[in-house]
Amino acid sequence: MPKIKIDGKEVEVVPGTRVIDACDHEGLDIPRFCYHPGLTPAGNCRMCLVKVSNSRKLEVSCVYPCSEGLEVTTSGPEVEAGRKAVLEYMLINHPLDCPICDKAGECQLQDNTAEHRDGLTRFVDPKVVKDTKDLGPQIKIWGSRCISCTRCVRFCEEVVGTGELAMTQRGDHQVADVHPEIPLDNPMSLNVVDICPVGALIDKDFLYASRVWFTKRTDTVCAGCSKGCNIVATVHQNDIKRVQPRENHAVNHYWMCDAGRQGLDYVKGPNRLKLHRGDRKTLAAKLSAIAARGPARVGILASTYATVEEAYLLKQVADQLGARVGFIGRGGDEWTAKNGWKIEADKTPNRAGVAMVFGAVEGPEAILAGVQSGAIQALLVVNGMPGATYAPELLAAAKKLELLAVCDIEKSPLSEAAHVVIASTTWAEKDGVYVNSTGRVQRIQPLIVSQGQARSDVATLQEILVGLGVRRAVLSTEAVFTEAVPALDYAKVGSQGVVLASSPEATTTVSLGAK
Amino acid sequence: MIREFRPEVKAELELICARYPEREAALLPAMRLLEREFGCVDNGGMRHVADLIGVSPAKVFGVLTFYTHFRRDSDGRYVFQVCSTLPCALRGSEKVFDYLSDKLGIGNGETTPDGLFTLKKVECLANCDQAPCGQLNEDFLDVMTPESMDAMIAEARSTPFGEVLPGFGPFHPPSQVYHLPPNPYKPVLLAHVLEPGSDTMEHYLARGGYQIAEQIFKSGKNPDEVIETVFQAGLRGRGGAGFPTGQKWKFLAKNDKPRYLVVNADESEPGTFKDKLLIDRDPHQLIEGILCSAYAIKSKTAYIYIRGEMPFGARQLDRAIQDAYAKGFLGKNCFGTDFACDITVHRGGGAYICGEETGLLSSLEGGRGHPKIKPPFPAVEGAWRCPTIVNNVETISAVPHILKHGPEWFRSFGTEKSPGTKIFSVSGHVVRPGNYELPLGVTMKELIYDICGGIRDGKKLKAVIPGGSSSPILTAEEVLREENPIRLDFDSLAQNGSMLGSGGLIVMDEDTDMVDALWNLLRFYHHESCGQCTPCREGTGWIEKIAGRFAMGDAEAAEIDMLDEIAWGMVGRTICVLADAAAMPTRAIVKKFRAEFEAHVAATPAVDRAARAAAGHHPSRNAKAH
Repeated sequence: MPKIKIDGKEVEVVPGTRVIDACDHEGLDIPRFCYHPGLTPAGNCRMCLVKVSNSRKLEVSCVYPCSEGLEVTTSGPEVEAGRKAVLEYMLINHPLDCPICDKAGECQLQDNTAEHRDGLTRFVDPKVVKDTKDLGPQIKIWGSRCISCTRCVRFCEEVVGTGELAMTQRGDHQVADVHPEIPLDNPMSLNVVDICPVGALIDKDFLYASRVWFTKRTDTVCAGCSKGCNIVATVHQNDIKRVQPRENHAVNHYWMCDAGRQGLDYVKGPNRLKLHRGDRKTLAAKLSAIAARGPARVGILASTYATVEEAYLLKQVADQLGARVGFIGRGGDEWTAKNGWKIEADKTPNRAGVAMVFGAVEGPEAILAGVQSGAIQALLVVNGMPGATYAPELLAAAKKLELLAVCDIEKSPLSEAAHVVIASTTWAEKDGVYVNSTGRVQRIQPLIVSQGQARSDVATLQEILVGLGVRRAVLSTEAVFTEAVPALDYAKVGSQGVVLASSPEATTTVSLGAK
Repeated sequence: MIREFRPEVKAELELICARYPEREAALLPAMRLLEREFGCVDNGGMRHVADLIGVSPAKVFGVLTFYTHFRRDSDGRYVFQVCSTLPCALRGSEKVFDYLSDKLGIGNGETTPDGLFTLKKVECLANCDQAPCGQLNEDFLDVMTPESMDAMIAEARSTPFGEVLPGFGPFHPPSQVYHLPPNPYKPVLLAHVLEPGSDTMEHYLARGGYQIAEQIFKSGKNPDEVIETVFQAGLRGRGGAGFPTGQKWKFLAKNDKPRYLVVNADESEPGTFKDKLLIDRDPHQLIEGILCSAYAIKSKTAYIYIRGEMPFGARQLDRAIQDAYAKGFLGKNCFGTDFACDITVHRGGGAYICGEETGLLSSLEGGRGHPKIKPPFPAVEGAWRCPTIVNNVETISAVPHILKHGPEWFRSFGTEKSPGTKIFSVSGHVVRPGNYELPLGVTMKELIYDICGGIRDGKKLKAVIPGGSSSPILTAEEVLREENPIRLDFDSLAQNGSMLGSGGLIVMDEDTDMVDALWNLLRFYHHESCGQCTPCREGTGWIEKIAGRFAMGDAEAAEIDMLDEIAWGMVGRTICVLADAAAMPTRAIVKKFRAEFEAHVAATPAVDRAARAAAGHHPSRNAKAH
């Protein structure tokens, strides 16, 4: 293990470590543009200059290897002058249109300029102007803002492997671009917007949506598939403006897929169920009465969107009522990027968590058969999955039901037909825990205030259980979690999640519900 | 438009792919096939070759737009390219361009409405002794005059279109005539270039060619001994850096990976036109040099990376290589031995930076000519991450002579630290521009005055750029100094604050405006910066714009020092030395000819300066907010 000295402090590093990583590890702030820890270093922006004992010149720390005895100096007049000069060159052709730039407030060029320059320029000549145009359905480029760091090109080549982007032209006309006939539309394309150190690549959905300094950022976990990418949501005025990946090397590294970012419109969509209907106070009593008539008179239909807490409470309800529980889910295509990064086929977030609670995840078939045969006389639907569709046969047979109670996030023919409707909160409005396909226990958090009367299923289910005499009071979601998984609490789950030794592998073979 | 090669062209491309360890390397050749088959490289063509080679279409688009020499769908049947770089500018290329522009009624990069002519200003074409020079499609045009252009246009217009290749017009200008001005020193490498048939196998064999290569291969000599001979001879790289060749060969990483020999024939340093002559007129000398060098470094595969602007040279090499295969000198069993050696000619696409050895390797591998981060140096990790030696054409051409006559013979020419002969390309305002092979160490004064006939029209010398445009300028006083005169060798020029570089001397007479000259050179570096590193990408353009304002009388006195400072900020902060190559000459010109910059400022009416200052866009008040 080579020992090096950084600013006089001796540090031992893993062989092959680059100076910038050693400095990062020491918590030193080395300014950078082109370097990204998830990509091979390019060494082209020249911003991360440091002084090393092996060289008379300043060297770029992102490519310089740590060798035994190397002495690194990360500050001082020479280093500062070098960085200052690089920034001056970088800024001459940059449009400096920060007031209307989407990246303003989270731009590395702004930050590094504030840190390393004085706000003055000697440049008086005309700037080079490059095109502003669409690169694909979701992404637009402001060519003049591009600083040729090549992060986006390296991402599409090394991580995704689709290579829709290339550096084009030459010299100060160089700019990232697509082939004129082939758009940037791979399943992970929007990551290039996040890693762009300036405002060159812009997500059209977020364009002019809000100034980032007015927004609130909340850590959560994506519900788009069973991968459970760690994400952070940007919220402004109770509206989710975007979600971005959050670094977690056990799950998604630095990335997330485009599908996970999109399709969040349902949270505030026109189909959202916002009002309760019917008498929910007598619901427990009615369910209890029907259940008393014999075995399996009550059926429960839920989804693998249910959190661990919801699943735990559902199981208590089912046990008390002698009810069978069927789960709907959603399948789709599995997709693997060039570097092995995978989007899961199971498009629901918590099949593994539900399996942890129930042992096995049953499909909706038995419930459907029970309703059709008339054996099931009361059906309780508890669904948090957006865009859920219920089998037409179930809708037809539901007319026979004596009691149909639906807790759902969206209106459906089933909720229309229900005797009792309870508006539920979505993934974006509630607390809870998901277990991803690798058995990692991860926490979601409310991003916005819930819509209309919508309330959490954790509260609703506890209320029913109180009515059934099983529980005494409605507790917090965290309290329910600790009851369900005594070894853990939310603090232990933390922002990066934990793996439970007893987590079942997420290979339960249950046919998924309607696509 | 959807493009698809005929089956035989697809087969041809497969054969090309097979010449490289990775298919991607066939990208530039594939784009040449597109040019040949469809007359241009267009969107559909890019998609087709992307498909055939197995890369993304964006990659092809990125590569295409990096280079300047591929025909685009907007080009006319006849593309006039007029060199605009300093050696040609000194001899009136701007007038020729303006004449063509007026005559054709089109500006730079434009095409006549009938689609017949396109006019382009291009950078140095390595033909500077024939300045002002240019190209019509792929053929060179020597000493362009309004009269010769009139004739060319008339002939092109009157040549009927028969069965011609798509895109190109059927008319070709007459072939180039080669010149070698009188030289009191006996040449070695250039000894035969003017003899009729010097480019043929028969001619080369008749003068004892391929004997030393055959001897070495057949004797099974220890390759390290061959390296040692070259090392002892003290041969230093002739491409610009002057690194000892034998030493470079000794740096090769010892591992199991294949080794590559790459000949740098991307001659594009302004003022340098020696390799073109060696290739066009004595290709077998180079091939024998490659055989000997490949043997020495235990490489089975050699590539000659030749400038895209030299299609004739590429054809000459291809033909010579074919003849050498036919003779059994190349191939699986060179000279009937167990040693194998293959040579492939790889055409560039028009980018100065591909003369930088790692930029060249990136281009050879099928990419944009972006220089690579060193270390690792190519001898350790070069082409396709294997140990690679990159040597200049002149360097490799000298190898057979060294092996034939021995290191002592080689050292009988030149100085102790700069042994041997070297070809000097002299351009600009001398009476007899051209290539001169001299023993290293001859005084610069002797070359300019005694050998080249002095300054034309009886003018006085003002300055000399001694080793290609990247070498810092020397004043007449320095060149004419009697005491301790400047000699044409590596050490003397280094001691005088410049470098021998590629040996391209650009000579400027007393009438030369040094501010204009600097602006011209900086346009070149601005145009040729690859765009990777921030200081170079932005800095070359910035200093070019400042120099331009000086030339146009739109600069302030305070900007003289600023120009120097901005240039200094580019030095030593980039992956390759293109930034240094632009900055060091800038600093030298500003320092040595400061009075001319001051005169340009003074020549601007003060009232204009005051008005500009009032308009608030002038640097006279120094810094302003971004």
